[in-house]
Amino acid sequence: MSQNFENFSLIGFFVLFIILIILMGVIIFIKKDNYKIRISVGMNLILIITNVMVFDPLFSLIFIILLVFNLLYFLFFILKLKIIEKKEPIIFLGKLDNSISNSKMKKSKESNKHNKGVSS
Amino acid sequence: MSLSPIFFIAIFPAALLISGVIVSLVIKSDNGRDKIHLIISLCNLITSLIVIMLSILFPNRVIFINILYSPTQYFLMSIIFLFQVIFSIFIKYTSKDFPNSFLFDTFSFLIFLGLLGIISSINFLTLISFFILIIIMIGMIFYFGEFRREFNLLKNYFISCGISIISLMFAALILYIDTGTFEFSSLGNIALSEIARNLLSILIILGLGVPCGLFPFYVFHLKKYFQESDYFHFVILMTFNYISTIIIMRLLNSIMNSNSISLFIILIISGIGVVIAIYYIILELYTSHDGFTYSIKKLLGYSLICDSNLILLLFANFYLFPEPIRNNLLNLLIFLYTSLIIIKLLLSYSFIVTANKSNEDNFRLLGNFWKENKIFGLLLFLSGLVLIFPVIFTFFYSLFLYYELIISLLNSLVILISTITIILLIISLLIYLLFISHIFIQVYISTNVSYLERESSVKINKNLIISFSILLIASLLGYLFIYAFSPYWYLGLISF
Repeated sequence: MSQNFENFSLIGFFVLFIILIILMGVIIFIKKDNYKIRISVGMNLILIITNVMVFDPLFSLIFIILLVFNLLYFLFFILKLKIIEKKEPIIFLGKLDNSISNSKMKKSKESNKHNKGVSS
Repeated sequence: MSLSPIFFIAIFPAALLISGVIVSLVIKSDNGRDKIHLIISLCNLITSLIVIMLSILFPNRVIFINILYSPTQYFLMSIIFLFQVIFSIFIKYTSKDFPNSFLFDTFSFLIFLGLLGIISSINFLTLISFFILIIIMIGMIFYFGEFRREFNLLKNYFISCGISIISLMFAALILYIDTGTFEFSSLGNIALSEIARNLLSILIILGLGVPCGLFPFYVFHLKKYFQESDYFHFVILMTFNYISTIIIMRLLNSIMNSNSISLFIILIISGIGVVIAIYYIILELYTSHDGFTYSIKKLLGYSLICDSNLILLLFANFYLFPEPIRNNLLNLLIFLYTSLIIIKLLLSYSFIVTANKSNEDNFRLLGNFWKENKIFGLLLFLSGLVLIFPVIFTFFYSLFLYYELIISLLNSLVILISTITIILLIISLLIYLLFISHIFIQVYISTNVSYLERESSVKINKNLIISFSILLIASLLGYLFIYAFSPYWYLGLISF
């Protein structure tokens, strides 16, 4: 009984492994963020549960490497797309000063031009 | 592979956590997320308590492929779910609805699932996979909250995660090359070579210890986490820290010899860790070294890491003793550890009211909470009181009884190491009492108040608070009861 179960599980996990690789490809090419997040979380769950069920050390190692890749991709995806945003926009003081000084510069340039125009 | 009915009750919490992940992904709304957290955590806690009762009646061990369910595992499960209930109460009273909170919920359920996996896995690769999931998820949830946080804050933390993953992979390779298996249960039968033993123990300490701070240089990667995180992030980090310390002790217990070099490395590393933690607690309490932060979260964080380093120091010290007394002392150590966990739970639980009222965690700005919130003040006071009387008294009484029996058989080096360890233990316990009393006086008694209140603080349900605090104190009494009437019971927590 257990031998049959092991053979069955080995074939099953091989198929699952191919499906997971395809899913990882799908995640990268999907454009909508919501689906990306859901499929990634689903992938994590599947990888963890299969890691519990796998007997073979090689398969287990491959699943761990896939898990690490998936988690890192997920992390950088979250940080890169800035889906974690604050409700109110942040205004940095440095930028504010620059923008003020830029506008002042522009104004002064315009006024200079204007003055020159008047004088000419 | 025979599955008993208890097994299906034991996997019920894991199934609940997975359903929590799915529900929070599908519903994706902010309304009622606190209720989902509270219901799932309470169901988990009740189930684990039922399973503990059942395991006393039928003390069997159920192995399901790479997972083991045994009575000691159920006990650790109940500790994890105590933390989860506190986490959900913090979510209820301190977390406002923030953007993408559904993702935060999903990650938090995944973290608790990973913690369950860590304590019950009997295969090294399974343990690694759960551990990797947890450390990266803990880094991710830091970015969810009311305020936006920069990536640079946790750059060092993620570097430490990388170090940990690489060293765990190397440890797995060495284990497989030397023994041909990944299962912990076979470690007792197979004799490991001395070099593999030393390398494995060092890699395990590095791998499991670095992300949670069991290393003297934790200040560089966890300080920002303590300072910038919210209280609910902190509770998750606390759970992870305590559970991974238990797992380190469990792995080292099955790998190490009493005369291995790695014991001395652990003694030095954890000794320096304790000293640095004490130094930083004093700096935070009395000086403006860190820019007048006087932060409660930082104090709690340093004390949390001091706990883990201290327990590992005592573990290495007790391992130097001869065989029959060593087991007694390790049993005593795990009793101290579980009691310290409950005390820290009480301590962190008492900060719900301050976190509910304001975002401020500078204890010098907070104050005058005694009038309206006597329950929380009493809990804070109790956490110090419980530490003094039942725990420290029982620990030192038993410790000196054992020392009296064995002191003539020890050599001078072991006596010197144990003296230094006990002095460090006493100093760190005194420092705990110092900062508990300091925070109590500042937050509850002092009337100098200058903090900004939240616009809409949630009204706290007193029945929930009182019932849960009674549960915490009852569990502490339960641990004392177990220690008094069932010797060697705690030793099961660090053996496979």
